[in-house]
Amino acid sequence: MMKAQEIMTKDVVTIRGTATVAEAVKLMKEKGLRALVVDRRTEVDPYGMVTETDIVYKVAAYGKDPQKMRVYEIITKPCIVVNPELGVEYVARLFANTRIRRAPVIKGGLIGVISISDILQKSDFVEKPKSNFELYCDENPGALEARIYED
Amino acid sequence: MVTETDIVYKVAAYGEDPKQMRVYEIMTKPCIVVPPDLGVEYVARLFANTRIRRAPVIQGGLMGVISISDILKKSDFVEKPKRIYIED
Repeated sequence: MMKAQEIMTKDVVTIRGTATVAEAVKLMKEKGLRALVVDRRTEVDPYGMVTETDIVYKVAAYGKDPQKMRVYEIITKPCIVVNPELGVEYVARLFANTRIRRAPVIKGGLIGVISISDILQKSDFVEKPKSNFELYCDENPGALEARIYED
Repeated sequence: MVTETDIVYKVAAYGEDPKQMRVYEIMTKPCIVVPPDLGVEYVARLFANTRIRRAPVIQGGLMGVISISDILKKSDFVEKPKRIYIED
């Protein structure tokens, strides 16, 4: 199974929570990104994210002025984060169960972002689909069903 | 419509074989459609209220697709925020 770190996007752009939404939009346009990771204020502060969905749903949809709104007003924080060693199928399962499309990849610090586009475009789930049974066996190598018998 | 989200949530997340599954098994149909003359602020409001990110633009036939990326990158909501008066 491929791992999150093999398909994640490593060029991550961060923004301060106190920046204006207009600044976030400008940065996203310049870098061609659909989400930004929000800087942590301290080492123990959780990670946050701001996505194009947050901006369209919470700012554009209500005709609010992006120059007057701050990123911290619309971010998701704390956000769900992914371990770089997590298998891609499990990332997909986590995303489906929590209805998210993107998450920072964290180990020590921020090392990337993984999205449903990365899963669709870079993972091998089309060539090598994993069945539920195989996922179960990977997860529980000691289970009776997971044993391989040779005759 | 069928989106990346449909494919990842319903196929990749369950280790289903994409070669054995058909698009009709995972698509959203009927889907919400947008007329070409709807204001972009109303498109944003419709998307927010229905939690969608993309819709076909239809008049007579299929003319295009509009997404939250189009709204963010091409519309003038940053320069000219328009308060819309749906509630008033």
